[in-house]
Amino acid sequence: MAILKTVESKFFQTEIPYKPMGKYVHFLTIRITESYPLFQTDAELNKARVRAGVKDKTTISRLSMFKRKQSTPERLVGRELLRNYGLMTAEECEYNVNFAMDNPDCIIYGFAIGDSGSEKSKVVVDTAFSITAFDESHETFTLNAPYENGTMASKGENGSKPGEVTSRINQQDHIRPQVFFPSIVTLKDPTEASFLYVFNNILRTRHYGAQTTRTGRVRNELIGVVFADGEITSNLRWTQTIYDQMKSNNTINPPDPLDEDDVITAAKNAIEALMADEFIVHTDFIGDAFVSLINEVKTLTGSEKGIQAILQKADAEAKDYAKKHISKKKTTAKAGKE
Amino acid sequence: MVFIYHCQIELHDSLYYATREIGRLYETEPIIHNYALCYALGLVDSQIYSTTVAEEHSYRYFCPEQVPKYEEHLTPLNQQEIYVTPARSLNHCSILNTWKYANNNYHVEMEKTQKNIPSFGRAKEIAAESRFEFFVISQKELKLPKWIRLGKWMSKAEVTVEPLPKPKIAEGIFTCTHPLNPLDVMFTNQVISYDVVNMPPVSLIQNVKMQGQYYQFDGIQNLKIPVRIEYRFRS
Repeated sequence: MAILKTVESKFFQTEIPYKPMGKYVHFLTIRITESYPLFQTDAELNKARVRAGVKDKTTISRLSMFKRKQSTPERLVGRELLRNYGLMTAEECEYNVNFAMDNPDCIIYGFAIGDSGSEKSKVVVDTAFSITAFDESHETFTLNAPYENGTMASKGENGSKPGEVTSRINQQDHIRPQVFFPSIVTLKDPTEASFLYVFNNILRTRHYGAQTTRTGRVRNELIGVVFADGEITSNLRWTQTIYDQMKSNNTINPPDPLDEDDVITAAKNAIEALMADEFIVHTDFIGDAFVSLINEVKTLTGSEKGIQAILQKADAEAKDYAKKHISKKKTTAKAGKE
Repeated sequence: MVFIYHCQIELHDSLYYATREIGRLYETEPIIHNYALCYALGLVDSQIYSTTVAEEHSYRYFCPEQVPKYEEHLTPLNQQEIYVTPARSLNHCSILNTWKYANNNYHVEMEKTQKNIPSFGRAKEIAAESRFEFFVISQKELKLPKWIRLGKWMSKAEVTVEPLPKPKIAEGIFTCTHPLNPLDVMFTNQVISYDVVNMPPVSLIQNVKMQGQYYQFDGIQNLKIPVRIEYRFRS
């Protein structure tokens, strides 16, 4: 029985197929930093040199948010919920350590275990690029680690000399608040439950980037979903089109942060223009058409009954899929281990 | 009637695959193997292109083992007379990235893995907006997807396709400036000299001087593509 009323059931698979069947749903999100997150690998923020816009061909450095830095926190949110509602235990499935291979997280987001096989992810996320250039989107902070009294001067702790100033000091670049990352999350062959599972994960994830800093607050502003029979435009092209629009409207005024309303308007216009160029079959829920859908989803995921129903359905589908297509291999793989 | 398409790829994300592994450094060579392109373009096991493969070899979400099935997957393309050449870079930049597996814990600790699989490493990737070109030779008209995904991270890339004018067939000694898969040409053409680009599963060759029949095009100098290329796995 269908859970959603605002989306026709023809956009969904009735069960998780074992082969790609060419149904796609694309979640269009703008990821907005609300604090000072860190996306870095080699002690330096990730950035990419690309053209500013499609029309404006000057190259600029943009901050970038790698795919896994987006999908991992979203996966972990879903896993947390599965455990909370008793559909998975920490012992039977541990992320990147020991995948149980039969729950929604494993089946929808995929796994790879050397000798037990691999499940391809049905969720594909691409690197997201900031609309504004790197120079105006980051700040350098000095970090210190003060003593108990809150100062950097020693009172003689741990045999140090009283009055000595500690050298526990460091510098670190952070991404500023109100930096915007347009990002499309693609889900292949969605069932209604897997669509809602991924949708909920995107809506609920609040922190991205380095976990130890406690500063990675990011809000996902969903501006629409597109059901299609193939891939749609890239994050880069979308970002560049938004940039062109905002530039021609004079709404990019560094060093001021971008205005969120301007960004959302430009993002909607840009994606509508880009979707008009695609030569695939697609049904777009953007703007007014999206309001009733997101409200319905939020009502569902906002109640214990609603979220439980989604998780249970997703879990049942994953178990069903695993039983049909994985379980035989799994037992042989297990038997092969020492 | 033969259709030859000149295709360009523009990367919209950084591209990574391990052409070679040097300890924990994984290097991406700016050349895309033609086997990889066939999969990326959706030509393998497709109803649209009439290349469906036997059920036991079919492309699935779950792979019980990591064994490639190039022969089973690409032979139907030969039957449909569709051939994709490797892609070479038109312009590209490289970037270095460090990757690691995330884990579920609230603290960070590098644990020993039981298996000999690295949990972190550095990858030399090809940067976004780099461009590649390749050719598709087909006996039927083809409609290729506009957006494809490439490499280990499934990076999005845009494909633009331009049909070339009707080719003429000439014969003799010629130089193919475009990289080729040696297995696919050396049984029908005599390969005289070449440079090797080392990469698994089949190293490619470029700057190939060879003897045999080739396609050439009015108004496009220097573009010579050997005739009768097809996927070959055993002699």
